[in-house]
Amino acid sequence: MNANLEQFLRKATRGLYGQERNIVREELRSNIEQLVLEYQEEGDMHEVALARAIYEFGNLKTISAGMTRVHSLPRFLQRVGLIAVLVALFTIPLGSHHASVLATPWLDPQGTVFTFTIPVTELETLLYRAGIRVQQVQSGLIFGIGNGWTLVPKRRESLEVTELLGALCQTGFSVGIDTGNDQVALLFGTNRIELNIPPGTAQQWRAQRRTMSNTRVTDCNDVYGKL
Amino acid sequence: MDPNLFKGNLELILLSILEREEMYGIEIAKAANERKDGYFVLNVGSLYPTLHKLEQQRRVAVDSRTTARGGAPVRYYKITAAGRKILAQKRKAYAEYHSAITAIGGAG
Repeated sequence: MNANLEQFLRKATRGLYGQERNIVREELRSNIEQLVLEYQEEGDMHEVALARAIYEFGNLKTISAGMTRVHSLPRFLQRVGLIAVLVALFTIPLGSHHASVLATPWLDPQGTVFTFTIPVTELETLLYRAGIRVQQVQSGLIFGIGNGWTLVPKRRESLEVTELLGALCQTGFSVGIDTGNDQVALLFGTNRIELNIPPGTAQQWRAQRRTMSNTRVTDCNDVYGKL
Repeated sequence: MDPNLFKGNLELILLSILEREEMYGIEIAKAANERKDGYFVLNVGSLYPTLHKLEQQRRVAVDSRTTARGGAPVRYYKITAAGRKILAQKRKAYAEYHSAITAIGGAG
């Protein structure tokens, strides 16, 4: 076994692995051997013939880079692509999103529920799963989806449901409220968020609102008037 | 010779050489260098990535056997029907390209 030849073959197949590397290495070896036999027939000593043959084969880096490009890179790109798909499946929402969130009823001076608020921290997690980024900034709360975003002014710890629906409308969803069966659910696009609220509060809230259940609005100016 | 012209046409060159008979790596390099009167010097090692790519694309088929000289078996490359089809397409494309360049005065 010639050390120079083995080093050449090792470096020429750098970037390849396993059986593939073995096949390529043996092909290069067998062809170098043919050249060596030819040069020996011309009168060269074995060591000289081998040195000539390795020289004739050209630049090691060119061979290695070419082999990697043909063999390893496509497989690597396939694996990266597969990982990207798996990551996307677990992070990008598919279809509609149904969830529930703890909401706090707010009472007017008469003790009647007039709205609900949702903690911003809960919203961040909830809406992220629906593909919407929520972020507190100095001037308020940013709702973003894709390349679009909207700002709800003023930093706050919780968001009132109509404000939330207004922000979701601004990001492009048709929005609505479902107040059937002693529950309140916020609707945006094909998504639904059930509010976890004390029993009876949904009926109180519905009783004083003029909104029909399951009303949807797409004109964001109607959010406060119709919902 | 402009190396970029060579790189862009290596598949055409290899398939053209294999069109007549099956050969292994060293033979292909020698055939290329002999036919073009040394116009380009084909380093043997630079052939293999392209040969392997052609094999992946099933434009050539491979068969291992020993040569008349003896020694370890070498991989002989043989053009396939798909390879012949691609060769015809590449030749046509090259001819059209050459005509276009000539027409606009690029051929001098």
